[in-house]
Amino acid sequence: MFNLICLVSADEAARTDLTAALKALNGAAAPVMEGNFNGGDVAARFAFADESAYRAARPAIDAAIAAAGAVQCNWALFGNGQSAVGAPGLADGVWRGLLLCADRPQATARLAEFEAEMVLMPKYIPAIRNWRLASAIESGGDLPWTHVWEQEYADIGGLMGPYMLHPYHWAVIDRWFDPECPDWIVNTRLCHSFAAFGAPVLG
Amino acid sequence: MDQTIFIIDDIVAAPGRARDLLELYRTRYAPAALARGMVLDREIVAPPMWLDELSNRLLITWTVTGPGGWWGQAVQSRYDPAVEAFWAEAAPLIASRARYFGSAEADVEALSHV
Repeated sequence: MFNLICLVSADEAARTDLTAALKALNGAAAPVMEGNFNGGDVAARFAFADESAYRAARPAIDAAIAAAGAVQCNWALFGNGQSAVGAPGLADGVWRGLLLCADRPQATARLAEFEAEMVLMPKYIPAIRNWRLASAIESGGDLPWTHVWEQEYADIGGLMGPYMLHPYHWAVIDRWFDPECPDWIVNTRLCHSFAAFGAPVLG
Repeated sequence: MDQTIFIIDDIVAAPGRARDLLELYRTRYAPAALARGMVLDREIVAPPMWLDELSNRLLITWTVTGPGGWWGQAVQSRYDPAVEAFWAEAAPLIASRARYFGSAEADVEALSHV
């Protein structure tokens, strides 16, 4: 499976048509919710059976984004990575995607440890119902994104509450993102985006 | 959530440089940390004498209130180039360091069941 996330920044007047156009291309698409950080205005997520299906579909996706007069698109193509589905068919939940770039000097040496700790988050934070952590195959936008960390929650409260407040997040995982911590490996420029697609995308 | 969160800098100074490091920390780091809402709890020097040939360990503890206070200081420092610049400037005075985040044992249950 090949997956594509596009976080598109576009004028408000263009967003409705852009969302419809991306849905017409078999993507899940929705306005990005308030509280995002560099998360774009419209989030879209596509799943392809294989790389050739992705290559065939990509020009139309790019054309739809260009037609909206997009000022920015942060995107990443990624495979299955590591994932789990605790709530299959979660259609009315909230999807959250994080694009990150592990580009600090010690990143390569520490990536396995970082990834192993990341995928423990759902164990300690059960509000994360479905999730995937994957390395980017290709990416673009502000930075060459190296990883995609996406989750589905039953509602926005799961993201804003337990995910942000649990100490496994701020007292364990965040040190990889924190320039004040010696373990810092992730560029502080992130894309933190979330949307209600009205359809299950992770399970 | 109003539990006291401790932010602990555990710094092993380069041999003979602990006083210089603490002075730099007090003048170049602490004022901005206070402005970010961090409260200085204590500074411990171990052993309690200044070593010339060997390393002193500095344990500098700050507090913030709850995860909200923790995120407040973290977001401010993360996008302040002066913070990263401080740690780069201090690096020659440091043999090794770690930063820990913790709480009193009595607060663990409340903090970890959110």
